[in-house]
Amino acid sequence: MKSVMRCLLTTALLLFGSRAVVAQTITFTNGSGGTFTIASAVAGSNPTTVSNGAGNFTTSTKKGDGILRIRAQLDQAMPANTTLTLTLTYPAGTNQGAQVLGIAPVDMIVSIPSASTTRTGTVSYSFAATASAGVLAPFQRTVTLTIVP
Amino acid sequence: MIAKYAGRTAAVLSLVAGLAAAAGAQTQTVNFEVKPINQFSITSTAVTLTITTATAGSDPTPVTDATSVWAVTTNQTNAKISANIPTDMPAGVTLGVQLAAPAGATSTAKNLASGAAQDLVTGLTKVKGNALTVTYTLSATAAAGVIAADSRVVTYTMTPGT
Repeated sequence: MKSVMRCLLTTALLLFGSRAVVAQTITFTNGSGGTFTIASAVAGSNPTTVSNGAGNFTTSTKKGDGILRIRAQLDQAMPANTTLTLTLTYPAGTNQGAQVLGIAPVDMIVSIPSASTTRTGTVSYSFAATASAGVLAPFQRTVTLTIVP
Repeated sequence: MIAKYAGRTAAVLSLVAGLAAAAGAQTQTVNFEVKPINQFSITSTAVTLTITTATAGSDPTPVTDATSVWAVTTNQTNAKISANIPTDMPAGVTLGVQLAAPAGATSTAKNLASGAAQDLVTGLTKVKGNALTVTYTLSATAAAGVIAADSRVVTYTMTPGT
């Protein structure tokens, strides 16, 4: 009896878990978002911001996933007086526009309707630094996109 | 018994939750760099200074012009601005210049001469400044006499910091 119950419970959990695992996925088409080098300024202004596209991302969702949103965050804070701004395009939901990234997740696309489909969006970054930021040796940050209910 | 099952259930749920979180997340690496930047500009291209009066008993009255402005951006430490002229001013005549300094920097009024450039603004450190006044002063002693129209090109140089 115990074995039967244990088996049933495990099976139920795996089934539930399987739904959760395949519920929705998000994938960058490029593992690298590129290199952003600030090297110029107009006299009297902060260094000139550099912006670039960084490829696409795809999402795979299923009907019944509920209302979803795409969030973004960094693995660690940017250096003082610099900002990394992320802009996504996406064919569904409500786009929150350009967002400055930090270690706390920030909503990029919200109110994504449930559907069994694959959607593709674009990624672009903008790197800005004030004169106060000084000279910065090469460094990197990891951007994480998540799609969650 | 309940505690035993609860523990196992929690462990399985935790594993499932971890898998679910990983499935809905993806990372991308972004690389950055900020190189040394030192930029400055001066707006006006020509200034005319004419001495025409004096107080009796004194040298002719100096004239000043503060219509020019300059701007600077540096992300380094202790950059400086200096200036010189290609040939000395006539005997008894001096051309002075002072640049208003942005925050944290030091401005010093100097009389320009040929040869080594005079330091006008020092200690420019990770700063931007805009619409900063450039003040020229032309002075002459009575001994300089009457001088026909003449000109000097002032060359400004920005020396990067570290």
